[in-house]
Parts: sequence; C-alpha cells; structure tokens
Amino acid sequence: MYRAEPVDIAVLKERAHDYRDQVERRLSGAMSEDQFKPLRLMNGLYLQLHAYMLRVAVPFGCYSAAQLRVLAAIARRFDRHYAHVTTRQNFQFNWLKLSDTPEILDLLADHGLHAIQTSGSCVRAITVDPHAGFGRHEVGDPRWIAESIRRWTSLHPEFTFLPRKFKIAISGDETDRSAFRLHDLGIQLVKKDGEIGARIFAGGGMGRGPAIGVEVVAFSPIRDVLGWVEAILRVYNLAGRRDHLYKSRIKVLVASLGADAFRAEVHKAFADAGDSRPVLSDAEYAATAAAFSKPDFDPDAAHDPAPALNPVQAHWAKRMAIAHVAPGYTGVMISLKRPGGIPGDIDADQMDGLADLAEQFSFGELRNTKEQNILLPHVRLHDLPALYDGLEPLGLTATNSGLASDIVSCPGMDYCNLASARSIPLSQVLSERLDRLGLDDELGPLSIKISGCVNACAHHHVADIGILGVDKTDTDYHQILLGGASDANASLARTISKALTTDQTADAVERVLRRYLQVRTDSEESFAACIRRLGLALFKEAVDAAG
Amino acid sequence: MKIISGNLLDEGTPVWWTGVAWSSDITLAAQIDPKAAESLEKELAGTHGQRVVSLEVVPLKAGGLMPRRQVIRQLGPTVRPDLGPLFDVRMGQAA
Repeated sequence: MYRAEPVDIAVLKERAHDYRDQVERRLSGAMSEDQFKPLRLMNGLYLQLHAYMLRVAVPFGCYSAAQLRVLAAIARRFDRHYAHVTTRQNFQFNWLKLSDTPEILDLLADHGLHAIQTSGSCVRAITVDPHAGFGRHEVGDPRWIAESIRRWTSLHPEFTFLPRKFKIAISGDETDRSAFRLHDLGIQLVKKDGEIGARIFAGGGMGRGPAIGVEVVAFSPIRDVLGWVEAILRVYNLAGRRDHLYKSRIKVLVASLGADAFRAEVHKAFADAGDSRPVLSDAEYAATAAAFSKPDFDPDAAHDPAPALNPVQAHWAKRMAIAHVAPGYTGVMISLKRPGGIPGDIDADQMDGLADLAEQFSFGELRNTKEQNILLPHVRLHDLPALYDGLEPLGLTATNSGLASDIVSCPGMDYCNLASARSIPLSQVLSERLDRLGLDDELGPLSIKISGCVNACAHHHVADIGILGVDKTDTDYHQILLGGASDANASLARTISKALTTDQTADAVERVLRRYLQVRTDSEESFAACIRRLGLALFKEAVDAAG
Repeated sequence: MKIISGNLLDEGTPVWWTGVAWSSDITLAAQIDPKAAESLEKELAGTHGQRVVSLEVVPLKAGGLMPRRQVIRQLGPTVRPDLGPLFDVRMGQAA
C-alpha cells in the first residue's frame, strides 16, 4: 500500500488552499478567464462538453479502500453518482461546478490524493505495471523508481514548463503491461550480473504521429536513474519545439534528430551535469521503497484447501485471477466491461461496495489498470468464492479480462471537446455482439481499443484491433487498424479500412475475428502472431467483404 | 449561418446566445450572419466574460441544422440520456 509522506500531504493542502483563493478570485471577477484557465488546468480541471471535468491523479494507479470511499462520496455529493477509470490509471468526474472544486481538492488532499500533474506541459502522473509488487516474474518493484522520480520532478522548476506534456511509464517485469515503449520516457527494470538496474527508452508515444521509443540507456544502475531522466528532460526542454503544438512532443524531437544523435545528446547532458547530477542513494531508495508497505500475508495460506468454486465461479476465477508471488494468494481483475456497458464507468454504490470487498479480501488495496479495469492485488485463494458472491450484486462479475469484449474506449464525443466521433456506442455494439455470439473464450486473448480522435486516448495504435473515430458529414465514422502491440514486440497498428459507419465497423470487426479463427494455426497462435505470419492482406479482405 | 455557444463560468453548463441573452435552450440560439459572428463573439467575450466562458462560433450545417456536438451538449451524453438537463430535476423528485 502506498502512503503519501506528511510533507506531500502538506504540499497538497497548500496547493488546494492556493487553488481555493484562485477560484474565489475568478468567481469574483478579480481574475480573468485567460489568467485563470492555466491555473485550473494545473489542478486537473478541464471544461468539457457538458460541464467541468476533474481528472484525479491516482499515484501509480494504486489506492486504498478508504480513498475509494472518498471518491464515491465526491461522485454522490458533487457529481452525478459515478466516476470514470481512464487509460492513465486515473479517475475522472464529469459534472462538476467550479465553485465546488476547492472543497473537492481539500477532500482529496486530506486523503493523499490530488489532481496535479494530470494536465499541462509537465511530467504527468507516472503509470506503472498494475501487477507491481506481486508479479511472479518481477525483477523489481516499479513503484519505487516511479515514486523516486515523482518526488524529484514534482514542482521542479526546470521541468514545470516543458514544450508539452511528458508521460512516463515503468515496468518491473519481463512481461510489459505498462506500454513503456509507447511513452515519452519508458523504464524497464532489468537484472545484469545480479544487479537490478534500468533499461531506459525515450521518444515513444501514441496520438498524432505515433512512435515506438528508442533505447537510450541499455543498463543504468538504480543510483543513476534520476540522472538519466534529468538528462532526457533537459535535452527535450532545450531542443523540443515550442512553435507548433503538433510537433512539440519528444517523439518529434527524436525523429528529427535521429535515434543516434538524440542518444548522443542525452549522454552528453548526463556527462555535463557532473557533480550536480541527481543521485539516488541506497538510503534514499530504501526510504522511498518504505512508502509501499507490504501486506501481512498469512504463511498458512499456502496450505489452504483448494477454493470450493461452483462452475460459474470457476470460469470467472480462471479468467480473472492473476498469479501471485505469495503462496495461497492471487490478484483478481474486476472488469468494468459488462456487455453493452460504458467502459471504465463505475457508479458510487459499486465504488463503496468494492471498497468493502477490498478491505475484506485484499488488505484494503486496489489498482486501476490502463485497460480501464480495477485490480484487487492480494486476495487469498480460498476467499475467491466469497469475493465472487460479493461482486455479483454489484454487477462486477463480467468475465472477460484480456478478451475481445474487454474493450478499451475513450469517452469520445459523448463527453470530450476534442473528439471527432463517439466511441462508446461502438464499444457497446461490439461488446453486446461478442456476448451474443459467445466468441470471447474461443478467440482467447485479444485487444480492441477505440479512440474518438487522433489523440488516441484509448491507445488504439497498440491494439490487436484498433479503431479510430473520424468525423465525416457530422456522423460517426471509424477506421480499422490491425496489428498493434505494446509488449516486448511493440508494434504500431496499420490502417486497413476506409471510414466506416458504426454498424459497418462492427460487421467488419466480426469478419476479422471470424477470419482469425479460420486461419490461425491453433488456439495457441495469438492474433498478433497470426498477423505476423500471414500479413494484413487476408484481414483487409475480410474487412472489405460486404455482408 | 452561425451560432455562438459558451459555458456558464460556475456551473460549466452549455449555453447559447439568443441575440439578447444566454440560454441553456439551444433552440433559442440566434442564427448569425457569418460575417458578423466573429466580431460579435469578441464583443460578447468582453462584456459577458465574467458569466460565460469558452465562447465558440459554431457554423450550422446545411439547411440550418445544428451540428451534433451542439445537440449532445444540449441533451447530454447519447449513451446516458438520464444524465441530461433533467438530471437535477429527477434527483430532486427522487429526494
């Protein structure tokens, strides 16, 4: 469990106090909208289609049952009784009044939460592998490095006004669940000669002009990671473009310089920093690690009898349980993707119910995933039947983690000012169809991600089947992309269709899925492997086939 | 023709310029000559900026039809019609 330090709480309260004053001055007319807008954005408050939207930062996606209850209370008291889990492991509220937001930030600060670093040209809230701390093949806990970077970069004057936003993702596992090569800066913890260190990438990103990050450092000792992050940020801060919004991300700088020249610039900046370079001492790293307390696992859990699961529960457990390093324990994914539902939405009653279950069965810990689901990280295996029984009345037993109907979708034009098309209706049509056809289990692991515009909030570039919304004659149209991946074989999906209506898109996706079932060697060949073997032509043919 | 939209400073609620005032009813939006819309928007931002923010000049579709983004702003998310403008009324009734 992550616990913010007293100094962090003090900073958050001070920041909330400042914000209250700013809002009062804005509402009184003492401050103009032009003066106020950058201040509200620095506190995560956007003005969207219907009202103000607050993006609440969840440190590394990890939070407690108590914090979830606070979020549920905010949903009830200030919003319309629900919240939305984002692909950046945060929560969003969609229907706020400006004059209520100071009280909301106070409530968040009182409970170690905040909304800073969720907007603006700064280092954004850092995301990590949601299996952090319990993955069986974990090299090191990515949250420790993430927290070290957060402490060092938060409010750092040199990095508060970067050319553009800067996103960092960190993985501590052989298997990448953080998409670290698709971020401005990505770190993978690796082991070399028995020492844990960091492999560092930069220049990745989705959105306009997607790019896979280039390796900048093959192995850095932990003590030098902050130095490398500083060097990358410094090169970007000095050389990144500020004259063109669409060319201001670090991926554009890396592409314009070329990977070798960019790498050389970073290594020079690292060397030039000399004695001023930040060093993460063993003592400081250990203190940072101490912010994450380990659950008090019961050693007797290893000897528990197998859980008594009925067939429905057994099917659910097989799909939603995640291997755990502690004997007798498991992680459990809670899907927010019921058929026909809105991906990522969770209502206040579900939040409170889930908080109760987290306290009862998972040491009070929860995590958000970039797939817009919630993870209970430490569940005793023999508690699985009781957990299922607790989830059922909450409507949270959808059994589709990692399957086709576990569709990731941005809010699209139903909420977002930037969207070109609606995303949620297509996700609803597809999830209902997949449920009706019963294809999920036959297909096996497969990702569908739907973005409403080129900003790619749903990460459609790295989906097996990515879908991009486009505006055409003021109607929803979508382009289909295939072959993306964000794992060790990171690749960007390629567009294979013209713009299609929502119904045409759903039909085309079904044809692609059926074609995959026809042509895969066996059920072990993943969609990505199948495309690598056969190419896109067969699937494009399926998309183009009418009726 | 064009219309001018904005959001109430405190509530964030979408509103439209009727020609004499701001209304939360899109059907009352004044259709403005495209040549006059930009200057009117600047004038409104100057005189009404304390009450209405995020002003935007919105071209109408052929035949004077409203762009669907504006319709969605008026009615609420298409996927949650229960969250539209009558939400507060309904919650009041429920209470």
